[in-house]
Amino acid sequence: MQRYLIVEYQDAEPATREVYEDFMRTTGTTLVPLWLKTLGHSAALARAYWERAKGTLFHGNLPLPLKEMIVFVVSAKNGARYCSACHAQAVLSLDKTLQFCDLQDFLKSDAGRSLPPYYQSVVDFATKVVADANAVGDDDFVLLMNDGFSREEICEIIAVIDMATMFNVYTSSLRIDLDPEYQAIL
Amino acid sequence: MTDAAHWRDIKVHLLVRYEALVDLLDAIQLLDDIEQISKRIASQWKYFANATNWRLVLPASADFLVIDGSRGTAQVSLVTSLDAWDARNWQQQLPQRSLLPLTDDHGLLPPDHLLLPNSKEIMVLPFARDGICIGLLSMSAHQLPFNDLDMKFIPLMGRQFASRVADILLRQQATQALMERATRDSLTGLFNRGTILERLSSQLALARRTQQALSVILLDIDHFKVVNDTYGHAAGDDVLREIARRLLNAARDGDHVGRYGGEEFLIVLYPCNQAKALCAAERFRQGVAESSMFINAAPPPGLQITISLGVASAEDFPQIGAADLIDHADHALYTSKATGRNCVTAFIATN
Repeated sequence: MQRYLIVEYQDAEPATREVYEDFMRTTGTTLVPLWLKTLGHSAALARAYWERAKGTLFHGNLPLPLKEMIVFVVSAKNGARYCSACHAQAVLSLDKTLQFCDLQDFLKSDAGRSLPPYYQSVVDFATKVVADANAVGDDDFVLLMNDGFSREEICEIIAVIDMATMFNVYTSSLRIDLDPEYQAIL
Repeated sequence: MTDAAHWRDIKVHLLVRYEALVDLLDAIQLLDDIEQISKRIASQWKYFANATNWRLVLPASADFLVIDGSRGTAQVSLVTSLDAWDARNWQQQLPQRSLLPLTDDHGLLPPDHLLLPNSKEIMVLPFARDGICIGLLSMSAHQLPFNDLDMKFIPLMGRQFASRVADILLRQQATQALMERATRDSLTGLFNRGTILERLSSQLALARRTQQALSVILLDIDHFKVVNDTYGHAAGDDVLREIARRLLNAARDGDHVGRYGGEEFLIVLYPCNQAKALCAAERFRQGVAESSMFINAAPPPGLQITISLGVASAEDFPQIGAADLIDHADHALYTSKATGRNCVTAFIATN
């Protein structure tokens, strides 16, 4: 059973179209992803979800590849089929020498041999937060700070983790199908 | 397999590194504030080098500017003397690399933030421009010792950083010097005539707005011509300097002291009513008269110099202008001169 309804651009209300257009303008793509189209019935919700993604991913001090890596890892940990496929795509498009199998290996072995040290500490931190946000200790923060992350940057890291989780819950409970250009990694 | 992994490692770094590098070079050129530049560097440096904990030391007039980077942010402070470890490195001005823990460094230790539990190596880099050392960068490597890429990027960015901060400091010093030249009397260091009049005008305007009293003291050196004629103009200059020093000594925060004429001084006090101004004037008078002045030309026991003072307040004249207020003080000063000198007179309006 398809649990969601899709509102295509041509059928959308003006307010919804505005959100679709802002998405395309910001990301530079010509296609609106399925997750956004499933929110097309409510311009307010579509805008709310998009603004959360936009403010988190496209602003701030952290480099985009790092943020995409966080979203990818968190989504994989949360078993989110849609998000992990989407952000695997994002990570791959940011680095042409990485291949799909590299990401699969990365998830399986949990080893960050091909990543800079600070990536690893951020990924470890994200894994802990996802497992149990209440269990994150001061020493976990100190580890990140010693790697050169300021409090503001750690706050941004948490915002990325949290945003990923939000989308994971949304897309998983609705069992949103993958967009044609995504390849399932889970 | 190792080569492929190493190559992939570099590729994955590259995008993030270049973005961070470009962002930093941009920031360095466009930002004008040393603290902002330092904070940007502290936050971005980790993306292209093993550079999370560092200290940059630069000369700043007679002092040193110390910029400490750690935990993604930076702190800037001005110090009069460097820590022993920094001082030793500054004096030597030589590049250094040492693995941690340090073996023998004559007991000198780097600053705490460079010695984290996972710090592996310490590097010291001096930067010179036209043969002069403009900055000294100390850095500790976190988790791994410095690699080849670090040794390319760190000196590159370090030099840009130090150069930019040095330029900003130079500009600040030059601006300060120009301001001083424009607003100060070169002999006494007090405000010059133009500046003290300007201060009076702006403080008067403020006084009118806030309806708080403002007062002025116009003072004049007694028998100054005699000093010049007896001991020469160099001695006269010494006396002027000494009087300025004593006036500044007796002045309180918020008092503006200026050299109004050859031997005349104008002091602006705000907020200050007539009664307080009279007390202040007496303080100035005493400060000059209480001890003799020792100047090169005069034989011991030195010169006994006194001043005459006239006090005027805007308290009873809410709309009075600067020129008229000074005129009032001048009248009062005249009275002081006429009644024996070395005394204070307040202006009283006679209608």
